[in-house]
Amino acid sequence: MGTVMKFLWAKTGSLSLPGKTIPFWGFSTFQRDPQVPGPIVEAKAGDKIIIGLFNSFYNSSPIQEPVSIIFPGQENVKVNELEHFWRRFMLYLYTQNDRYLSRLALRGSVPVKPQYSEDLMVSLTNYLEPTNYYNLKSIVYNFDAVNPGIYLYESGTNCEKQIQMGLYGVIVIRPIGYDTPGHPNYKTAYGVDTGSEYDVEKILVLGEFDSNMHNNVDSGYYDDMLKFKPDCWVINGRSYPDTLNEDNSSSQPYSSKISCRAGERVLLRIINAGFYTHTLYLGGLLGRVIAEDNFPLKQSGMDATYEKAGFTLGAGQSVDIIVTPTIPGEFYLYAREYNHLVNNEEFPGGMMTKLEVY
Amino acid sequence: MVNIDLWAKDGYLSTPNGNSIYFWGFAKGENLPAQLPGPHIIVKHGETVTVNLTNTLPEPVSISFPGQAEVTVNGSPVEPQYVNGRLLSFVNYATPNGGTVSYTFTASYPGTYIYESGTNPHKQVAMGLYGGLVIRPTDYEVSKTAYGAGTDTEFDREYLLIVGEIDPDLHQAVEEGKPYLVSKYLPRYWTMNGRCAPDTMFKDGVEYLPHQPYDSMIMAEPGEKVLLRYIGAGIDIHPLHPHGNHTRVIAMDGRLLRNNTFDRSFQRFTVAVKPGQTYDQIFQWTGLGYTPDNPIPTILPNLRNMGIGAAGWTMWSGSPYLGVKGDIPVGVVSFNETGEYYFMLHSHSEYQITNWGEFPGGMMTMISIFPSLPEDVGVLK
Amino acid sequence: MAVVRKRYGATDGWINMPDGTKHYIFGFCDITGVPENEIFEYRGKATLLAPLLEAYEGDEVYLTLTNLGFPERPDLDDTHTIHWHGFPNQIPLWDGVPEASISVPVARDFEYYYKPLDPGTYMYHCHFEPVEHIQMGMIGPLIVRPLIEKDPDYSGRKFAYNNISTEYDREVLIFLTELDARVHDLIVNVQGFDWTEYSPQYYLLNGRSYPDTVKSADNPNLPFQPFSSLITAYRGERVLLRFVNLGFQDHNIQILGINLKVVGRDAKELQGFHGEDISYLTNTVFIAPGQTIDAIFTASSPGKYPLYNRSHHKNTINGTTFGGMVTEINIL
Repeated sequence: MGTVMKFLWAKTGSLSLPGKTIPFWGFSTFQRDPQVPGPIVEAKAGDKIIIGLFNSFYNSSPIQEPVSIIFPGQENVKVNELEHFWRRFMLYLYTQNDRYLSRLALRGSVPVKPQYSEDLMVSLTNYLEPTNYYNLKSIVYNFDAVNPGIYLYESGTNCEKQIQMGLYGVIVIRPIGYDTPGHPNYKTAYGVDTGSEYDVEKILVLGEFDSNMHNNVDSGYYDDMLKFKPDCWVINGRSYPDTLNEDNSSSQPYSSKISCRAGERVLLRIINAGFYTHTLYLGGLLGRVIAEDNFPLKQSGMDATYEKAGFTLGAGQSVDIIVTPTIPGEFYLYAREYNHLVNNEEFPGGMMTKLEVY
Repeated sequence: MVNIDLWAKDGYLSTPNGNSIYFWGFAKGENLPAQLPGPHIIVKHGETVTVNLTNTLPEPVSISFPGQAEVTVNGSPVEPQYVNGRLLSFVNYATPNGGTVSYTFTASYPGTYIYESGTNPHKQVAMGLYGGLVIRPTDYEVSKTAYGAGTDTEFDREYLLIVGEIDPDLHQAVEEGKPYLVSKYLPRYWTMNGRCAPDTMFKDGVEYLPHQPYDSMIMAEPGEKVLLRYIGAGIDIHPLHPHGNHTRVIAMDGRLLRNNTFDRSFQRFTVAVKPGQTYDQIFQWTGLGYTPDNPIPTILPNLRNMGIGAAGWTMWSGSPYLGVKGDIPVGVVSFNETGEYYFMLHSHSEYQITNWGEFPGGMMTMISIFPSLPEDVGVLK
Repeated sequence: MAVVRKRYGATDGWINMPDGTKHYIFGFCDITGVPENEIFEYRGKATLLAPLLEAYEGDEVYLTLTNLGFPERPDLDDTHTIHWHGFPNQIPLWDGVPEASISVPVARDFEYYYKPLDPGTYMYHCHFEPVEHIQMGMIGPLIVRPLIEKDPDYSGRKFAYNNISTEYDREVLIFLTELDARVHDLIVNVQGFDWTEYSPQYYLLNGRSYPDTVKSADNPNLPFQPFSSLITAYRGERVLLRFVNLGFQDHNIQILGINLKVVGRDAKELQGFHGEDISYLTNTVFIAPGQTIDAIFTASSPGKYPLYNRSHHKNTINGTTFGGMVTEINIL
């Protein structure tokens, strides 16, 4: 079993949406710009996942409030609050030796728990206070990647603000042997005999942004949540037509466009990082649901998978579907909440992408 | 080969609180009224279906058939349409003010499906351009089932309920040619088959609702299996709750919930009807066996001391027993005919069972259990 | 089979939110066994939630509803009913829909009879002008227990359904609703409300908003909100969560660090047509108005685990954080 280690910074940045640019908060890797969704974390079942969070150190655009990360769907998450972690981290960067660093991250780590101030819960998990640029502290979480699937990692502090601002990303846990030709789990999402064999995989993270709220938070004037009214609808942090652009190194680096050959099995891994419910509609195609909230529907010889044209996800929910298009063409995948297919009142826009079959 | 003509036209919807709302809908023919929902399309598994659309509206209109594979126009698969590089429609469309387009597909799987506009859907589907498509199994005449013999989907009566929302301000903006500001979407009316309660309970084709021809009253005898087909044509989730019993959801989006021998159908007393999605269910009421010879264990109070028909009317017979009429107090009108039982079927997001905020109204109907019913009740046409 | 006799009074009352505000409610209170000349002392003492109605499969339940009137709104002569939401094969007389049978005027009684044959988690509520009476608080939890618990071989053990795989040690109610303060304020002031404008400011778990959710059931500042949501379990215990949604919105509940096994929905075991096991594991419970969900987890690691609505804008009190549909699970 390996170790997957990822170090993330929480930073302020700027998002590009059709007709507007809005401030946001996102995770980034060392010395890179913040992005939404945050940097993807990939691991295999059985791995130890270690995620370190910095706010201030080497951060020219820190978040001026406590930050943390929660891992919905993971059990037995532990945490270490490390004062001088940055020295070890610089050494690691220099030597690329991660064994010492991971031992340090794990040794003495304790189960996470909600944090209180005068008996009132102020954070869902242990958090990192903001301090100055050279501050040495980091907070390092660790857990075992037990079950394959697609999960969110997201802010656990002032969540209604921080998750909305963009502090979320995706963890993908794959079965052992998924990348070993000949292994029974090769190119499956959940292992052998789960009906999850695929040729092309795409992760689609659904979400929404309230541009007024982002501007207010950025100016230090945080409005009350009764005024929460999202106006931008996104997949992988982008609104159509940007959803169709390739992967790039912007603040919204992940494309939502999918390409495949006719007859190939496309594994669509759809997860809702927003607070609203979203329905992704396949238009003319049908997909077979092979897992709901990371629970594979075909197991122990029982096949509870089913075909469907539309997939409604509440906040935080995920679904894995396999689409096998048979003829070439251009197939739009779009929100069936049709009022979310607009940019500034104009169709087309918002929560839409495309599957190109050739 | 089945040929269906649909005309995209406009008209006015009538609501029980006296409102008249401009809408867009499909009609069966050039001289027939636009209707909400559009005309039922009922075909058989395996048939080749051609739908000819004529568009009288001032913008392009199309029809998409979610769940139908390989829909073609002029022999080629439908594809998204662009104008100056900008997406205009998910599928081929008919041009405004008289344009036409014909879609052909093979009804390749039995079930319940939606058909709706694929052009400016945030406006056109909200304005009313949607309808229901039912595909029957090939052996339907031999054994009345939803998905074919051997699928455990036998039924005695069948009903289709298509639910939606209406924001009259946005409809008025379209009527007056004003900007359509979808970010202000706020429904004031909720519909079942295009009507708001209590119109939902009036019969098919009632004369004073020329644009809303379909009723939503569910009627059956005790013990009968009722196939309830729900379609969510709006953009909100509508949790539909029948009183009287659970339903077993046997299929969704036109796909039977069964793989070979493994059946994953499920029972619910509230089915959350999600946007664009369809649900086939079997409802069956058998009752508790109370009759005048096997009487209820409680004493019926003097009805003059009770609340009967607060609004001056009741559906009740005045008797606890099926098929028996009792003594409704003077001053209350009873619509009960032969001692039938009535159970409400309604959205449990309760503000949706109002007409612009006034109860009763909106997304509500009744299931009525009659001691006996003619054969032509509960036949989907 | 036992005979269960209960009498509930329909009246009004007041509840408290953590920001110090008070809100007018309608509701039920338990007047079982109260002498006839004392029942009117319960006027104005409705509770949110209404009393838990529980029975075993096969019991005979005689539930008398008495309309005690609204002391704050003496002009309002609304009648009331009790609707057992989801009772299989019910007859209209006991279904509680005023338009289809009987409702109860002020100072009158009506006796409902139920012989439940299906264990599970249900709910009950008034069905007179339901949009108003449900939002105002005439809502309560209802549990039917399986007969397997009366089997001498399983004496002392608890099960959600007649299936040993649904055994549990501790049971918790997670009853979700919302509160739009404008409705409650307008109604106590004899005004109407346009229900199309419904937009809650408070989100409640068992009738309270966090931090009140974690206070004890008999907290003296919450005399008419008798249900606590603080969950304490010992390591190794199986905890059954009975989710009920009697609000008007969908909700998504997560417990950080604990995954759930959903074994029943809408008072039916998750079984296909031939009894196939379609129970499933999840970390997010999506529940629509009018639905119930039964989920079990085994308390494994000691610690504190927060339960909250993943639609985080709802974890607020009148728009400000932190409150709402939040509670804690302590595993000892």
